Amino acid sequence: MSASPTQRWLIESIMVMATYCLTAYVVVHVQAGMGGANLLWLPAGIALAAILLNGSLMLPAIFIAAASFHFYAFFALSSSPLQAIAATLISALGSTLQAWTTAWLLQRWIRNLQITTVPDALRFILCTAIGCTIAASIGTGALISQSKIMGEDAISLTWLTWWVGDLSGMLVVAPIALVVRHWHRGRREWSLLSLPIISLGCSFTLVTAFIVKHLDHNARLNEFHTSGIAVGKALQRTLELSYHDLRAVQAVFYNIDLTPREFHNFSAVLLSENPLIRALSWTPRVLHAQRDQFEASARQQGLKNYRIYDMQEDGSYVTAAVSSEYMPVLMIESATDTSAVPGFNLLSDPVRRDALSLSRFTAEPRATQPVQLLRGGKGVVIYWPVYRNEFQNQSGGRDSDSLRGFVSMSMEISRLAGETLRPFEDRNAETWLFDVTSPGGPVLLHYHVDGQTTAPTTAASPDIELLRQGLYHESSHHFAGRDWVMISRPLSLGNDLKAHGQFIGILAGGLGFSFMLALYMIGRQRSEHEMKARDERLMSQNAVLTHLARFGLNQDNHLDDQLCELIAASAGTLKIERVSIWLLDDDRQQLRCTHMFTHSTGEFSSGLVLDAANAPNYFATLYEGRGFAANDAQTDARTREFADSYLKPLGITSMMDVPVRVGGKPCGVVCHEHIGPPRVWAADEQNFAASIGDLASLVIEGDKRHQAEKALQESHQALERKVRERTEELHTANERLRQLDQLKSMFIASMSHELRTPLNSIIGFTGVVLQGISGPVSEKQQDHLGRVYGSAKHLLALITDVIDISKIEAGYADVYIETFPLNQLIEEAVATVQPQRLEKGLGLEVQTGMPVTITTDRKRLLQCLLNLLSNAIKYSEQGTVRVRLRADYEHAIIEVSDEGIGIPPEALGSLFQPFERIDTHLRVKTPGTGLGLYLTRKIMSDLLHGDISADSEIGRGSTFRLRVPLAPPDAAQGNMRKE
Amino acid sequence: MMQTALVIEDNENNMELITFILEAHGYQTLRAMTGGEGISMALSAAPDFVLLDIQLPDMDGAEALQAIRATELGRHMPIIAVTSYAMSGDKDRLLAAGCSGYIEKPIDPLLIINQVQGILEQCR
Repeated sequence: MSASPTQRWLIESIMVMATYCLTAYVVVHVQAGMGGANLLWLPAGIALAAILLNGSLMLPAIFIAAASFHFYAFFALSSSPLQAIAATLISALGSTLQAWTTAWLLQRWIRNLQITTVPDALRFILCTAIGCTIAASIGTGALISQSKIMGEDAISLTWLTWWVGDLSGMLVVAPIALVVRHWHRGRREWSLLSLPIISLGCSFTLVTAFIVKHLDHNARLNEFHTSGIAVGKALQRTLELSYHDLRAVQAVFYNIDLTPREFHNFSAVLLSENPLIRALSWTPRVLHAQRDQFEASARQQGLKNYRIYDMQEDGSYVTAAVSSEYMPVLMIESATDTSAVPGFNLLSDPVRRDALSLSRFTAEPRATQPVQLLRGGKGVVIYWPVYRNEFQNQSGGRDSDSLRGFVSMSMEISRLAGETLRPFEDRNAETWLFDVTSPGGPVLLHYHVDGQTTAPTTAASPDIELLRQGLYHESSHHFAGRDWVMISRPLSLGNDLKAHGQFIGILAGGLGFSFMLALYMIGRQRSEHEMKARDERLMSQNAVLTHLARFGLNQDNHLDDQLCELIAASAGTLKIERVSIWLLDDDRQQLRCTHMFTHSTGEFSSGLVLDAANAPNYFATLYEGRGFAANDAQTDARTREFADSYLKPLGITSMMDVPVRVGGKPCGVVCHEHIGPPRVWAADEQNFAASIGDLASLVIEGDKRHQAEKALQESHQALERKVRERTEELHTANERLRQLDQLKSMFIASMSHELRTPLNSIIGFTGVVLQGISGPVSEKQQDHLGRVYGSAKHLLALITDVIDISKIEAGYADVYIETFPLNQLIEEAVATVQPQRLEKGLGLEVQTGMPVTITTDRKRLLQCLLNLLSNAIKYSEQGTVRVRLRADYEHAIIEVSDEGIGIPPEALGSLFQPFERIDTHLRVKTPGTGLGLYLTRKIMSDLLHGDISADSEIGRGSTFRLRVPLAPPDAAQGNMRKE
Repeated sequence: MMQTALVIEDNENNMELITFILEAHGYQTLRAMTGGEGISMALSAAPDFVLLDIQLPDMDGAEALQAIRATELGRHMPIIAVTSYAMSGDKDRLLAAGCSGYIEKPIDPLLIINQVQGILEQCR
């Protein structure tokens, strides 16, 4: 079955040629009997069908077939072979051109050559009608050029016949061809209903056509019979008329003898009235005894040289032989020259003699067999006996002696027939007139054909029984003792365009309509199939798309997997051999195939490259972001650029590209490459492919976003890790700090102990020695020891202050909250500084007012108050130290004021800084650590949640103010260390 | 009759200073350098009162105090705690543990004997 295309073409061409010629031959011979007009020129339809089925490649075959047939036809017609060849080529060209044009029109106007609507059918008819004008015009032209036809009527008739013949041929064959084409294409497209439609339609058409033909035949036959009857009647009537004329003559002679003049006058009237009568004559019976007298009397009556003569067998005349009686023609009246007739002894001619004898014995008129009339053609002569009155025998005279003679009338048969058969003139019939009286067999009197009277040739006298077979009309005529039979036969019953036009019209119309209807059903079926198939395709496409969307949009899947899945699904769903994804390089000058799926092998590949320079049109389309569907990729403007380098080697015939866009910008294509016969991409397939392209775009875009998100996430994680690391570091650092702090606090704690312990010993023992407990000390020693004691005390105070400050700053200062009367605390403080105050001779004024209960660290508050009091005493040389206690709802305010040296305003700001002492002359006199106010402020602010403030006036004294909350704030309570 | 004081003090200088002042004022003194030693001496020698340093090398002063108070002999024995100035918070704790009174360091040689005698007065 693996015939190469050339072989197949050759086979198909031969088949087309054979079919064309055979059909042409059959059509010509079948229709020849119908008058030569080919009203159903099937070969035109076969040529069209060949192109519709097998394409334009069949044109040569059609041309050759048409040429050979036309040559056959023209050669018979044409005088010169050269002319025949020229006409042949021209008309063959016309036929070929007609087939091609009609096919082109059909393919252009009827989608897929499917007749699915009534307009389709109308277009079909219109296309063929238009196409058929070509061959009709060219063919008629060829005939005109050959001078075969002339005259406007003939030309238009030829043209019309040609056109109608081709059109009906096309309308019959083309639908059949299309039905066959659909059937050939596959079962799925074959409507089951079309079979019964075709068979019913064809049967109905044939039956109808033949019924019509039959009815027509019968009608014609009836008509023929009617005509035949009319003819018969006409003949009979003519004969009777003549008979009556003769009777009139006989009646005259029966009574009187006419003189030649009287006879002439009388007969001339009859002859002029009845043109069929060739001659009327009077023939008396003459006995031998009367012969001479008779001849003399005739000559006397004006008949010159009258004598009785006989006609010999060879037709010559001689003086009548002696006989008992003679029957010489005496008077004759005829339109033609009858000078030779008088004197002709009728008894000398056997034929006439027979008729005379019969007539004489029957006393009735008798006609002769056909005889050669003396002056004219073939005819019959009728004799009517005239008897003497006294012997008249009514039942028929038998007494030959009473016979006076005969009147006779001769009629030329051809004129008789010509007159009576006039109704048959247009009937295209042939008519035979026989004389069947004689037992020797029928004698052909007359033959008449097609309106032309032809003298019968006795030799060719046909068998009457043979004529009575088939169609015929017969009428019998008894005439003057003779039996005549007229048989008429139509030469061809329907031998005209009208009759065949009806038949062929029904045949062509019915067959054409049946097959068109079948085509319509097939078309409907097919479009239903297509719709169903499209629905199925759409459903499967939707399912695939849904799956792909789910798969593609799942970012857990790898990009390559997603794209491979996409193209494999597209190839599988659309049944395409190769589906691939091509992406533009960064410079957009190259397409690189990243993924390619080959359906037949199920393998994935990649790596092909296409340069923009090699396919500018293709790239231009790509840059515009437009997809395309090329049904014939090897010739499509967008893809033929790489037809030779790419498409043809791979056998790619159809291509469909959809763009891949990222960020709205075209960045590649999804390429569908079909291998096999060129494929028409359906709209739904294009939509599906576009969806695949969109999905690919989404997937690629999603992947990019995913990558970005991942990078972002990674950087987030890195950041978080870093933060965690830093936090941990901080944590460890904090821990270390805490440990360091602990160390520091331990250090401070131990320092407070370790530093003080030796100082305690120094102070203790110095005190012991100063007291003189351990023995007497000199005054000098006492003075020195006193200095040691004082210094040690100062050092102890310094150390205590420094440790306190350190503890507070480190946050390790202990706070012991208790509730106590503030007034008492003030009293205690005042009492404590009593010795120094008194020593300096300062006054004291305490204003406490209402007792105030406070909850705070008593010892710290006391420390602060003592500090202020001792400062006030220290920096005063006179005046009064005043302590004032006030309280509102939240705070207690303790003011300590003196009337001392005061503080310069510029020093007020730095008053509470460490190691700040008022630089005055009192400085040397007033021992102090320089940490007192700083420590006080620290205690107030950091431990007691209060504050300290001061105002002063140089030389007028200072006022220091402690403001302490009556209860520690709840929030702050937690900050107080209780260890 | 001479009263006997047990001084439990790890610092030798302090020990000398306290015992010297006490003896100078006519008290017999017993010396203990550790808590354990002090407890056993307090129970064996039955001193008239005890001066107990709170910061001892082997134990906390409060523990020693409780150990002594736990015995029949020590239940009513005057025990004077000697506390550091910085450890002012100890006062309540010590009082709760059952000390008779406390003296704050630094020991003032001019005041200590009055403080001791004042506390003993209160115990009587």
